[in-house]
Amino acid sequence: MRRIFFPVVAAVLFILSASHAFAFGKIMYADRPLNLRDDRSPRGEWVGSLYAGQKVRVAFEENGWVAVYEPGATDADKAKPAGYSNAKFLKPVRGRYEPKPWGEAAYSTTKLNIRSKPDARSAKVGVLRPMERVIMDFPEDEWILVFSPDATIRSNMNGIGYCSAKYLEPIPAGAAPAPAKASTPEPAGLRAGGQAAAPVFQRVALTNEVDVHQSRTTASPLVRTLRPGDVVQLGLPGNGWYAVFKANDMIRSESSSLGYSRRTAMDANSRQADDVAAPVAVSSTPGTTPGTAPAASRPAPVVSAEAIKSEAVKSTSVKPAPPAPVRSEGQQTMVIDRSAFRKANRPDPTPDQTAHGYRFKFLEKSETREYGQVWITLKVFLSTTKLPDREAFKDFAASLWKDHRRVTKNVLVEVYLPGMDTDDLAWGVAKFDYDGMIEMFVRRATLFGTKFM
Amino acid sequence: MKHISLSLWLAAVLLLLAVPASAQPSKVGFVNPQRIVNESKIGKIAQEDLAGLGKEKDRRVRQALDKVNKLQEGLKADALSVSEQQVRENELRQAVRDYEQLVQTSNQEIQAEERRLIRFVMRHADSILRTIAAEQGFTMILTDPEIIGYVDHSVDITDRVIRELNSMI
Repeated sequence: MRRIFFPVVAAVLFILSASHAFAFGKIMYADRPLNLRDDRSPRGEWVGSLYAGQKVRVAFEENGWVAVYEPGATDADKAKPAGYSNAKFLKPVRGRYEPKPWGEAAYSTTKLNIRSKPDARSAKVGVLRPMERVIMDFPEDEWILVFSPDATIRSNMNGIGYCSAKYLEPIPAGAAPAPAKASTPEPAGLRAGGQAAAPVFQRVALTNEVDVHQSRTTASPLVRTLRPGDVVQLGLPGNGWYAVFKANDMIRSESSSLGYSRRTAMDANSRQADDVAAPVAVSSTPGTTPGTAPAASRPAPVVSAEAIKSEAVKSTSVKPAPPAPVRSEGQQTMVIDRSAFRKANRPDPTPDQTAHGYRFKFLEKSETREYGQVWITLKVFLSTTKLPDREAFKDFAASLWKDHRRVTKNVLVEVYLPGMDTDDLAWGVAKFDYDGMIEMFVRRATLFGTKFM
Repeated sequence: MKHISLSLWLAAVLLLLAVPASAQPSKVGFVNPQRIVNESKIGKIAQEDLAGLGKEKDRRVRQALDKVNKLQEGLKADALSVSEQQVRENELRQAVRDYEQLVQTSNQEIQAEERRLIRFVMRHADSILRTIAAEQGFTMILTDPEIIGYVDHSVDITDRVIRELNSMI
């Protein structure tokens, strides 16, 4: 017995000491959107950012500044952090959680050199194999910085190196989840401790009519309209949309969904029926991307009804179904179906961001293809008491474009003002290609019924 | 036989008298959407918006045309090597393709925007229509001038809808 006991104890002690040797620093969470700098000083150059609640590994604290690493980093190289941040904004427990997708999944069809600088004469730091998956961001002229597919920190100190952008093919959002998003850790408290990560679906009963579209954009064809009393399941949230499934569907994947509905519309016009367990088999990746790890090996996106509700609506009270129209005696019919024209009497969204002196809120971010071009659509509510003039609108839209521009994609910014129905036409429309603004116009007619007209 | 015949005639006469007495008066109204778009203030503003988009599209089309013209002139003016000539010809071909595509998509987008703006104006007119219909006891309101042969002025509520819409601005 003693002969067995001692080797077992020795093995356990060895494993424990080994795990300590691999781990370094400590796990912390950004308590707000946080800039990363190339030096331990607020005057250091900006190299990237963390979203509120982002999980990181920090080490080597000096003068109140820490070196920030990927949470799964094992290489305690003091000279290779993803950036430096002020330690007082990093907390051991997650508070706010506002994940912000970044980068774009991509691959190269050919063998591609990775260089240390956006220059063909700079040193070669690696080679991208054909079909190998990476994340690309920080475009510079014809070049773009590539990251490991597991990267979670958006920083130009966290990339592998630069590749020529023209050889990289973006992976469509529907083909595979962006690694940056997929590897995003789930918010604390969403799951019971020890449970396996799995998408959560909620069963809801409709209290009002909600449209279901073919894809996650209002520009896509209308598939059907859910009626009050209909019971459906919601899940796989993305870009401000839910995938909608039949109430009794057991296998729920993107391909088996009825379609997609806007989060805000669904949250305002439905009540929770009950929570249902994870599906039998969820495959939200119908097409397997070359060079990628199997979907099952990546952390699955997790969402809870509470998180969605708190993000989407201020009030969770269920609106009663609209009363039936009152008809005077003897009247039988009205020829016009008004259900489609019902005026939304919702409060204005609450702005949560600032750009160019304007408070604003993203209502929807989506990607669509029109006339053979890919468009990133940003629907934005702009909180203002004064009608923005042309220049102010242009500057505001341009600042959003700068944060979202991608190689080979155009950006469409649609702006809504206070008092407007955010499900209807936008007031301001600005279109950008990768190089700059290509078109801008406003619809004064949409101000009808607001304080601006 | 005579009694039966008399009874039948009497029943028929009574029936004919009863039908008009039991029928409710039905009132049909008419509204002309084209006039609402053309004559209401919001309709005029929507038309100005459309004109604004038209100008913006026109500017882009002119830019694309300028590019084509410049490439054409460059091709004529310079003495070029064969390979250089080929490169510039390809550039010109691409510029012409871009120009043609831009003209086509601009026209499509303007038409789509026109439809969107008309729908927007009519949505607002529609809410007023409902109030007027209830107030004046209409059982039906027709909106398609194509199917109307004659409309009495008293049931054409287009002017009223325009007035109400204008009063909201």
